[in-house]
Amino acid sequence: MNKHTFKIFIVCLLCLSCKKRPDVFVQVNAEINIYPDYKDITIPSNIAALNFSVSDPADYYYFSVSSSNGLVYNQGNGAGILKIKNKEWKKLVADSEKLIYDIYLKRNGKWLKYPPFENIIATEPIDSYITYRYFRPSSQVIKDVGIYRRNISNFDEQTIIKANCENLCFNCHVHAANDSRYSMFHEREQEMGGTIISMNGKYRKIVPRTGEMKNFATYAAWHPSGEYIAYSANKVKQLMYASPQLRDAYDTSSDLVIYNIENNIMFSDSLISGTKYLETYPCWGPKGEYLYFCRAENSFADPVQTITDIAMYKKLKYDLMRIRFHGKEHKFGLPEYVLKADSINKSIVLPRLSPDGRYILFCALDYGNFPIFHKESDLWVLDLKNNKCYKLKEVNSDVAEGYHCWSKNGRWIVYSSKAIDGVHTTLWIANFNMQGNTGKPFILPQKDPLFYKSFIKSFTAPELTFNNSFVDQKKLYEVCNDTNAITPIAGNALKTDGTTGATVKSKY
Amino acid sequence: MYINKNQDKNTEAVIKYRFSNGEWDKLLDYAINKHELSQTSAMCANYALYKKGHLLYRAFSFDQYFSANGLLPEFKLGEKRERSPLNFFYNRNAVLLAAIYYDMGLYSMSGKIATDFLAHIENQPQSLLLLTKLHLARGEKEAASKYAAILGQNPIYKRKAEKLIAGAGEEGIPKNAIPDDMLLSPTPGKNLYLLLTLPWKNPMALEYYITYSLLQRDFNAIPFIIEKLTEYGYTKLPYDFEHFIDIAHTLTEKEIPTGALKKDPKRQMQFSSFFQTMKGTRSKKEAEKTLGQYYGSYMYYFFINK
Repeated sequence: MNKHTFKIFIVCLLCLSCKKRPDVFVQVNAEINIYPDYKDITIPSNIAALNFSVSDPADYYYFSVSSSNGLVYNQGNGAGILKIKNKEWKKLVADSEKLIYDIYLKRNGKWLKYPPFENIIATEPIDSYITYRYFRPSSQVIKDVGIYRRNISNFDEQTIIKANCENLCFNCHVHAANDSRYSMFHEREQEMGGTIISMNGKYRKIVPRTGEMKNFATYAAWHPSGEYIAYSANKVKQLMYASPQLRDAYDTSSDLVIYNIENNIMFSDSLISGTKYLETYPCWGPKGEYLYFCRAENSFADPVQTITDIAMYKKLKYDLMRIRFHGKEHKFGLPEYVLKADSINKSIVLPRLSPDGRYILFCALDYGNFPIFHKESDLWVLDLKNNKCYKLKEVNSDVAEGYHCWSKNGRWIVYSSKAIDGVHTTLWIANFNMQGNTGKPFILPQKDPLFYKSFIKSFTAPELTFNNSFVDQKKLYEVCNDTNAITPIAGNALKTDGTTGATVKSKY
Repeated sequence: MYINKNQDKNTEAVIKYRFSNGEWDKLLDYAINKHELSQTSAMCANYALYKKGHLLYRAFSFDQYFSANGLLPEFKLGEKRERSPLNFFYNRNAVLLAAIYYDMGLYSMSGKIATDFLAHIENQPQSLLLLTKLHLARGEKEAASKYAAILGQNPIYKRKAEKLIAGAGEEGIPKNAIPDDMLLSPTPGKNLYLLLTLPWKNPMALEYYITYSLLQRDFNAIPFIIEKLTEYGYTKLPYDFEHFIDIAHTLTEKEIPTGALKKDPKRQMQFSSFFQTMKGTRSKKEAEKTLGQYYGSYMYYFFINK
């Protein structure tokens, strides 16, 4: 045997020994530390591979993943990383109820075996796609903001739209009923800003303000029929703190308006707009009969400049309201309280109804309405069947939990949280069970298990969709670059003379 | 206001280099010999004076052309699309100011500037380094590790990044260091004042506040400064501040009690002689000529620098 052949032989021998599961080992009682933490979670069957690294030091690592469908996957390496190819992963989770992970660490020539952990595979899948934004956090510099859509079943991510210059922002993307064929986002820019509405491949750009509206349309919610979009039109200001709290955002005014897409009419009502209250965060019931929203009394000075102002601002709590909606007549019923802030001594913001209409998921803060800037912000649930209101135990951390959404089947939630490091926002998935509680959440998986160790952008505004409608990039960019936009006709409670629905130069 | 009065980019580059390396003596020797400094250079030179313990008596040894904006530049907070006079988020000057605020313990301002600058220029090393230190100071080790990980990809900073993380303890800044309700002001003087009202001593904030008030010609700050000087254990009035009091007394014709803080007889004579000379001059031209003899003193700055 010559030298070259001998070398190849040794390498093969080593590889074979790597693949072999250790049969002599010492059982360790301590729990293994992995990053990200994918231990003892409930996962959808259509999730991408949950790759992770072991944080405990060792000379060598061996992983054995056993599926209840009979398949076993083994991998050994010196890096301590379990990276399963998505193809292999799909075989493991197919027709399986659970995965059991056995991990061995080799130190000083001896193998140590850690207690196994299990991941339960839920029967209900999660929506296949998630749309989000990410960008480097900043309070004054707007750069490289983009909206992206990720296939949850693998690691493919497509760019929906991305800013190619500074001071251009895309935000507040929403869909109708988890359907990406109905899509909307705002384009914030001095000359060519507007609101881009996409329906079945057709794009339209509107000026997000008309008639008597004081502010531009901000937070949006598509009516489940796809015929209307509810907006809150907010004037948002930032607060910069000298303390570790760093910053906050608050509204100096906000009202609700509804946009009738087909007729290009924007309308409102004095019951959901005006100076007495701050109305924000619209959300539709699953049948579209009710519009849910948050409302607070407008009772503190603008702008917040002094400690006295802050003392007033810290009393600001939003109630959860709803109002009956009569679409065809462009009319509303009377506002009703759904949940008063006083009842839980929290400000209630960002309500989202579950697809079956039974639960309302919302953020609860000590005051104000911008959850991701509030460390104490947690996810709560209101069960409309029995009016029980409770904080979700598993998903909340000691840092901010914020924007959230439901899967179409109501069995999964995705939300943003700073749990990864207390500073940057990432996306988390949790199973929402029939009892109205969640399992342990897990972070959106990435191909590289060490992705989050050096990713300093913040993910925001997750929105699940069950489909990935084709995005005509060329057309979309043309619409975005167009300085012309359609002005909606001012309808009820917004009428002035002369707002005809003409196409005008955008002066956003 | 222009970004750089001094069009000599080389001067600024040298000063910034020495600032980054902590070469305070060399920086000052270089800066003071230059007739005009840019705003950034002035900011760096003032900081170097503080580091040498000379801020309160040598600040006017070079032309403080930019006044308080050459000490702590002002920019609008929270406003989008703002192009501040120093173009802060568009060049490295921002990080220098962030470093100054870091040293002063105003971590929120330091972090805000560094974060915004990093949003503008990805992977900028000085921002990454500062943010690593800031997050460690706040006890946010996980976040600090992220910035250090990115910084470590740059071979020049790899060792420094590793050292920072390895040496990090679990303690962060005290939780009650800055009250939750304290807002950052776009006016540096207000932030300095608020830092001095906190229950912990901040010598850097005091020196900067005194210098800031002198540069702003703010007589109203005098009683507060005297109170703080006493509290911080000063036994005599700082050099330039004493001139400031003398000017205030002369122009307002009001007595300004200095408590236990002693006055320097030599300084008193200097001011007296200056004041007599100024009283005797007949025209503005003559006054300016006389004042020119006092170039390098606070008196010169107060009356000449507009």
